[in-house]
Amino acid sequence: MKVLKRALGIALALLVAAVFLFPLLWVVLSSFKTKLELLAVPPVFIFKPTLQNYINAFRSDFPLQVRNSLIIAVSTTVISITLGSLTAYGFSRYTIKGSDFLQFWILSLRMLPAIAVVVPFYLVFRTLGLLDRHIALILVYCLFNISFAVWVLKGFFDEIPLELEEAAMLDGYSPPQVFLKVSLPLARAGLATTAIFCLIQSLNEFLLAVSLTTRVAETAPVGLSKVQTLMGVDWGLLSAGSIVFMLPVVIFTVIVRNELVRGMSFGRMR
Amino acid sequence: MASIRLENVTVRYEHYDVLKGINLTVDDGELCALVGPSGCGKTSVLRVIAGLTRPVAGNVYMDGQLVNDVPPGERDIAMVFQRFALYPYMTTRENWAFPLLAAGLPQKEIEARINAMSEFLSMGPLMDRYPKQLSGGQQQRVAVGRALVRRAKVFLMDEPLGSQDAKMRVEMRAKLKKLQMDLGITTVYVTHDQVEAQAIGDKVAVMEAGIIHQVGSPEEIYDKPATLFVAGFVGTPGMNFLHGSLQREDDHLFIRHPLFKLAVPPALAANVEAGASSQEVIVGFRPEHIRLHQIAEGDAIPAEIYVLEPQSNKLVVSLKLGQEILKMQADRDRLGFEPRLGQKVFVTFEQEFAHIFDKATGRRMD
Repeated sequence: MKVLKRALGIALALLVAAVFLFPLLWVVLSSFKTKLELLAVPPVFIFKPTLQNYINAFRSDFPLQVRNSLIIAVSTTVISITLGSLTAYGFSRYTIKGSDFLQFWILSLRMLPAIAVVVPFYLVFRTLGLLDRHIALILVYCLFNISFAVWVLKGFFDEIPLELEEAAMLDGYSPPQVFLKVSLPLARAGLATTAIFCLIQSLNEFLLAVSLTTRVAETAPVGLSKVQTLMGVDWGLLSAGSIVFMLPVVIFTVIVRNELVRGMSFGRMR
Repeated sequence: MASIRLENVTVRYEHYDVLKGINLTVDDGELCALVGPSGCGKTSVLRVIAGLTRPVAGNVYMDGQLVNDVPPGERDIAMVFQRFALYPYMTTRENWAFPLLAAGLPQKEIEARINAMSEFLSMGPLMDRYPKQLSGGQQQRVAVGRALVRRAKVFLMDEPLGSQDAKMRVEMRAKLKKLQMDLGITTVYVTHDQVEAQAIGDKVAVMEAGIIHQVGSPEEIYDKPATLFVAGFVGTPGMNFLHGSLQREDDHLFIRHPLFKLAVPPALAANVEAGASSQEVIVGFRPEHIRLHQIAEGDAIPAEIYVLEPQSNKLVVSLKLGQEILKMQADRDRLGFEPRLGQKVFVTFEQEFAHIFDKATGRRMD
């Protein structure tokens, strides 16, 4: 009975995994197919793989766009985590006048629909002469990600027993040292989780990127969308580009996976 | 080395006074045990001394210097927290090194101190484990070690032995006391266990609801409790209390109770009478000052044996006298007979050990 239950559970898990992974498999396979194989009906699963799509991708503007995406996403993440953790720590540890109101206000920034601010941002950055510059997207993404980081990280700081910080203070550490040596390491799981979300959000963002960049600071999602040409869509190139673009997040997630699991199940840490 | 003095210290959390004007002096090298029921403010006293809680009124002195405004890290105080407060991502060794690194000690010195402490607390194989890989008792030893390894001027210990099993508790208690005496470091030791407080303290302060009832040597606290609360809190089993009223007959002062009449010793009579706020008093007898007899003699009071609780070589007997239940305690082999449940016996009080309290104020009357 127990064995049967377990087997059923595993079968269900495999089914769910298959449903979620099939599109990914499709993209991976597509990226190694020729145009003819791509459009074949019924689809072919066994074929002689070609690297032509990847070669094409690297010969286009795509590497530059990936570079732009990484510069913008990494900068956004670093800034958001730094400012977010400091702000969250402040809210968590000190009594601040109007704390609840301020926190809600910060969260409300996150609720802002991007489409509502595209035009104002466009005008502001045009006036400032920042259109098609990395800094424009970094600033806008920080607006969304810092508020997210503050909220997530505050939860993690709240979980840290105050006694640990008091112990460190008695041990002769100053408040900034306590923050760096005791509180931050204890919030590792939260930092990793927040960083992943910031990174994914900044890498995937399309609407603002397409509006505020044209060529120099164009990001990969925008670039890939332009594969749809008058000559039809180059699905092979699109797939290859998507795979390459997926790698940074996958690599980072694998590196911090232990912290991530703890972060996702947060509330149970101690 | 340092002395500590608290002067009228009041601590308030959200309109509630946790400490209500506490005065306490701990001399250089002394071990003061703070004891009281949970929630009485013991931990708050430690936090005020450590500088983690700021009193709304009153002053804190170390070595005669006012330290109200000195931050915790500059007071040179080591503290063992009730819930250990070990850094979870550091091994035992790293936990101990953490305060030493803050003090900027050379690596060699740090290692020497850690190794000595490891030996002292028998932590050998546990030095490279993380707190979550240790049992509660072992974690507590790590916490004690982290405080000791500092060699600070003052130790504050908040229930440092609370998580140890009974045997380890007694063993560590003696070790801590010996160590404290050898090092001569001024220590404030919080416990809810009055037995532990008496065993370890040079001086015991008994607290309840934000005030200190009495400060004195363990013997003073036991022999001459200043208030009803102290009398009831210190000692196992607790003191027996009987309600009576003061009566003067001829030249003698008596306390009259429905079951007996107790003569107040002449030496105390004047004080008792002068201090009384009314005729109503409470007389206390410690269990060991109640005697049990098989046959009536003199003014012995009839009683019935209600419960028998053997405690090693001692026997704790609950006695029913009319409506009251009293507890007496005696060495089993000195009792002279084998008490049985329900047995009719006779009770006398050793009157010279009576504790007399004013019913209205709860204060001792001599």
